[in-house]
Amino acid sequence: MFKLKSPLLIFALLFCFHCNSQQSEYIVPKEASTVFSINNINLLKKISLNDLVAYDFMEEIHQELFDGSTAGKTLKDAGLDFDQRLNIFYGKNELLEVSGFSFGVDDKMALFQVFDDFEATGLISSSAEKYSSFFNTLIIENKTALLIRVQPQDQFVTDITDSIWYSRGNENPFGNELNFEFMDEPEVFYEDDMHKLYNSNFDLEKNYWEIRDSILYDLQVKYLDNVLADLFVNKNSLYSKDPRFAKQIARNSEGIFYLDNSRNITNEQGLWYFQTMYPIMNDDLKELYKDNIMLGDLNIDSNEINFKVNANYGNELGSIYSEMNNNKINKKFLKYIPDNSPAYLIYNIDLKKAYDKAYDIVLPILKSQKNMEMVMNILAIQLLDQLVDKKSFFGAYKGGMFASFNGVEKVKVKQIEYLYDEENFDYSEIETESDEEIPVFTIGFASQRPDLFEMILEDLSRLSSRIKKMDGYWMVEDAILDATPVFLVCNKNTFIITNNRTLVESNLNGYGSQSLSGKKIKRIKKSGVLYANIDLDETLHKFPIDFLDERQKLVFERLKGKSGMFELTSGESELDQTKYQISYTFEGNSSSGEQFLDMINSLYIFSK
Amino acid sequence: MPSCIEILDDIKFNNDGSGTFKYTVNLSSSQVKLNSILALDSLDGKKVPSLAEIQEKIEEFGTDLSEQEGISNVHIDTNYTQFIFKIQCDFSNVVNLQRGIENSLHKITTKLNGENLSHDWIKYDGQMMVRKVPNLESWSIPTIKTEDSDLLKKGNYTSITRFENRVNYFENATAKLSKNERAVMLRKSAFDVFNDHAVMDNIIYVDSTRY
Repeated sequence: MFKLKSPLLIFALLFCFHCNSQQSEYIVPKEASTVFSINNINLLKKISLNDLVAYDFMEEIHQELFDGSTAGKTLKDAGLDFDQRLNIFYGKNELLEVSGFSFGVDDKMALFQVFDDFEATGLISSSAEKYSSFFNTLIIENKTALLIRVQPQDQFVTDITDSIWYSRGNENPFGNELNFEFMDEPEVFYEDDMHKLYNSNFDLEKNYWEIRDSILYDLQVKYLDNVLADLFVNKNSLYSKDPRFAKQIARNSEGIFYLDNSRNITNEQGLWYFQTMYPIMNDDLKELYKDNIMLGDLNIDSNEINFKVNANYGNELGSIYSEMNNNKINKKFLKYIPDNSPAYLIYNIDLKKAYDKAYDIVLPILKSQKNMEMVMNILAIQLLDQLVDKKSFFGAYKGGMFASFNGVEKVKVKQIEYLYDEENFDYSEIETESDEEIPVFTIGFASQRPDLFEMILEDLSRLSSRIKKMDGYWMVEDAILDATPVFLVCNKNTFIITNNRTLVESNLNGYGSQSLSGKKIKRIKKSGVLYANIDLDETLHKFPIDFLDERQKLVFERLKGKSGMFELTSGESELDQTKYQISYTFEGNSSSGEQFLDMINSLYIFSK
Repeated sequence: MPSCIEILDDIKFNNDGSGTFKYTVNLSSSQVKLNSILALDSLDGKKVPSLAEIQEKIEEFGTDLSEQEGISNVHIDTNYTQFIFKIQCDFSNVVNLQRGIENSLHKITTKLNGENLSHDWIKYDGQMMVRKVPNLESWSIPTIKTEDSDLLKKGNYTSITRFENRVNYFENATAKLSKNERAVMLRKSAFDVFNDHAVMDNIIYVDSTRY
């Protein structure tokens, strides 16, 4: 009997041990709304820690690591357990921002060789040891570790400081002038204005910032304690609180991605007015976004990374998306994209259908509001709906669009230089020309009302001699940098804006045999609402990054030196989800691990 | 060679200490970069002002300067296509000029503190002109990124000081005297000026007897 029982007992014990052994994903705080989890961290074994901490997703926590203790070391030397996942997370709510990563620990001694600035500061629970450094906190519980930073929301700290400041009868610490300059973030302010702390002329401002610092510190300690107590004492983690995360992390892909849009919407600072003035409606709209979550899998083949994302949402939002997104490809777009375009995008939506559906869904939500202002707004919306010719309106702007990048063009830009007379140093201005590179682009919009655009341009041309009617198109002279024109084409089904001279001079009706190949069109047709294709090598080298915003610029800079193809496709929008896929086929010598991190980094920058 | 930024300051002294001050910022070689920056809402977490806001501030500065004691004939010339900004004014003496600029800058900015602006950067007693560029490190100027430093190396700062009388001697060995001996020019890269404000310092001794 015992003989029979003992193997069962051993099996049961092993099973229980396996089930109860803590994994790194269990200690991701529930405040995280974005998580990248790398399952196969063997991929990263050979990546140096210095390379790793240089990635943007490490920026919040890298100061402590990037102090020389990481030099010449790899993740393998840092005592990490490669059988556990590495989870990078970020999140914010109305009070705080939280960022960090959790991982498995194989060798605690080796770990503290790298995390050498941390000092033991007590226990959070009987099993969770707390270590602190100036910026970050490291928690080790059994074989898992969490490196975390909790930062109170800037606006919240300012609000409290202002409240205390003015209630004590103080004046505006910054004077009464309108502050026109670039608005510095507080960190920059401290850095640049530190000298002011010792200047008696700035006592008022100094006192204000000292109060703010005290509040910030106090909140920082309080919020960190709250987050950690909830995580390690109450065991409330993202894993235990959100079954969607738990389900996603159980997948065996190399990496997973979790982005809870519903929380991002709720915590969007820009919506504070709406949230404050219309709290009930805000709650109703939150309900509309409640299941809005993006879950993704990253898979690596030898030279390809596939990123599959399910954008999930509730049925109400889904019914709007289905109407808006599920349209046949606009064939008129395809003929205006040349086959050699290094980057192009097609977005195939129908706003009229989306408007009708949104009207049916959103109006009842708005009608639940009884206040005067909202009633008047609803009345205005209903009257507009009845009185405006929606067919004409949405006929002019249907919503579908395409964009293509066609390399760069050198244009002559006029500059002013000074010529000095050696006799008396009097100077005169001389005009010189320099070559500047500008991107050649084409953007097209689906429209059935070319007559409206013609009418507008006709009228504008009477006001400005720079707007000229040409044979089959319009030209706005010197529209870019006072040096190169922009062309406007009002075709039967498409309104095009371009600075590509060859399009208007030789390809007004499309590129014909030089337009996208049949093979490429087939791939676009297979895709749903969105399709994008980027030849990294061509685009990164040719595109003048001055034309990008900072976030895009950062991604470009990070990817420079890489070559490969990015392809973004989407599936049909269903009532509860739309599927997207990004394929990154790469060439070159860098390892799969590096390519993988590049991809994660790009996604992190865009999703933050 | 075109530079990313060209700053030109030109001050002319009459024998009685009055004079004319001209200041030009020429950004025409950075049109692409500026246009792309202006198209953004924010850059590095800081709000980018609109062209209209910049215009408004420059006009406000000009109007205010013309109301300052000892300042007259204020002319402002702006070119928002090529990004060239010029300001010119006459002054009764350098103290009026400095306080006038200080007061007018105070009206449009809260970023520069009183100590920075009240720095006497120029003195002239009819025989000796002392010019001392304030220590930019103590100003609230954001740190320059490495890639921007490279651009600044291509930029120029030119300072011309003119007198009615001949110049006897000047202390900054890198400055140049005009052939008519009545003007001194100092020309440095914007990067050098930013990193070491003392490169633009100079003391010029003017002959007060010869005409």
